[in-house]
Amino acid sequence: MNVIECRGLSKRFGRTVALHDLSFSIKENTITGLVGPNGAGKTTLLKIAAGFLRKTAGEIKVFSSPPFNNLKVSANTFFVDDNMALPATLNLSETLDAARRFYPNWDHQLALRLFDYFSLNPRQLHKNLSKGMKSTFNMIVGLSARCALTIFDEPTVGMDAAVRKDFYRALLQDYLQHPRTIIFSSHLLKEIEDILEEVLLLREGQKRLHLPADQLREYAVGLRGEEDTVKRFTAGKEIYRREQFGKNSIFAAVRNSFTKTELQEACAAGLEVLPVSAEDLCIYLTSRSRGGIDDVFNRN
Amino acid sequence: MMSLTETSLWDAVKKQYVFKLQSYANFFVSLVIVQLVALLFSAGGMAGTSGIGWNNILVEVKLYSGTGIFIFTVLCTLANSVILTLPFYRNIDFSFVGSRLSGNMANIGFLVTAGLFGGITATLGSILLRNIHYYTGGGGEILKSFFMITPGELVTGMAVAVLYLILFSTAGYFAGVVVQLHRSLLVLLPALIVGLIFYEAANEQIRIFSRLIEFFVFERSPFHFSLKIILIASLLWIGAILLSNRKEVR
Repeated sequence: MNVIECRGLSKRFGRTVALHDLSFSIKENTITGLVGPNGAGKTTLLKIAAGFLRKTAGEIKVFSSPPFNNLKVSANTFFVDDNMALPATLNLSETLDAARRFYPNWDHQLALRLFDYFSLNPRQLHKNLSKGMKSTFNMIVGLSARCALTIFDEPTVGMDAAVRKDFYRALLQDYLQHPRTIIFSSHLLKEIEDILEEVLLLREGQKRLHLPADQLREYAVGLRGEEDTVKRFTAGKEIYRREQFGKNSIFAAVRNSFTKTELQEACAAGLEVLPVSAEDLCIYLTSRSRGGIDDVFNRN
Repeated sequence: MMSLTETSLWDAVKKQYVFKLQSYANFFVSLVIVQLVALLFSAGGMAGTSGIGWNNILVEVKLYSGTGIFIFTVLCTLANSVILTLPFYRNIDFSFVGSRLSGNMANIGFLVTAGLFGGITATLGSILLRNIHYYTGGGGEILKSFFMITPGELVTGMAVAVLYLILFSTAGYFAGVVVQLHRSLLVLLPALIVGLIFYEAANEQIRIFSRLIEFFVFERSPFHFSLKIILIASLLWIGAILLSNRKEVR
């Protein structure tokens, strides 16, 4: 069953196009990473899925219903981001108790254990928390709510590296014990790729890729060496990135459609065959030019 | 698969209502503080204080009234109802389970509760004011007409106060929702209202606000008065719900 189904989804804010003709579906009980550069439309997409924003055109269904202003979708979706509005009058433990009443699947033991582990002060007010602490608290509420669809939109804002690592572990542990559909938007693909099953890559409001995470790691390959040799091997292939190294040496990232023997030949011809990480691939696939930032400096 | 939970509208409204009562409990505390301040002002004698003298006798008439307490209560309730429509407070409804309809309905519940609380405490405040003067005497003679009231009058007074507060908070909430539709309305709406008041003051034929006030104030039948308030308040609530039902949040 698909938890989210999107067909030709578009969203405009005045004259700005945030999403354009987006089609994809997200299967139940998967962890999907939503990645893309700033302004790719990640937050807009997630807010439409959560029922906060209205679509402009196309179709989106969450749990088989249009999500906008839908109580059923709201009851089964938890949306975590860094500006979750919470009453300034309640302290953290009162806020947890309040959240608990809204969600029948709420796991209070988990909430208290995580609370303890991250040493949050139950008597502190949410508005007085530091950025990282706020994110940690919101994450705890999001996990403990045990909603069938849990959306984390840039949940690690302000968290230090140690807390982020703990959070990824906690998310994975809880997901394994209580499978549900999780969407995680982040810029830090390198950090989260190990817990992701699927990756949905957006670029300028459109889908660039939607693949299982392990396929993404083998999707492209990098060749480095003498320019002519690289050109010979990459002829007719989709080139994602080209970088100049020294006078006569280049690096090219291309679609990995080589056979084993072809790659061995490339090595024999003096080329270095390099893996392209998921993070680099996503950067290549979403950058406006094939040369990346280098193009700004090489104006020929 | 995590099982899908079913939530009825009523269920969501109840949960949001309880959440609001808990989160905004400080409103009730500040209201009582405001009422006590108003009580202090009123205890010194307010409007209509006058002195008449002839031959060698000077008669000073001091009017003590609970109206001040009520006006402060109205202002407090009105401010509270507008605050509920601000984006931050609106977004709190969408941190947990809720729809625009359930959020609005929980707000209705909260404002009706606030009206009940404010109306009852304001009326009790004016009783307290009477007691203060009864026991301190104020250094003069108390004219007993309207001073002693029957329990029936007390209850009627409370009911009228509660109904007025509900009317004012509803109007405030509706105005808040309208202003949230577009930023320009924040200037346009008050300008329109103030403009109309001046226009009406300048033209004898125009009677919009005076008719509106007479519609409620001149009503002598408690039943019809309640009916009028409930009707107008319901219309404003429905308007607020319809206006905010398509609004994007967060």
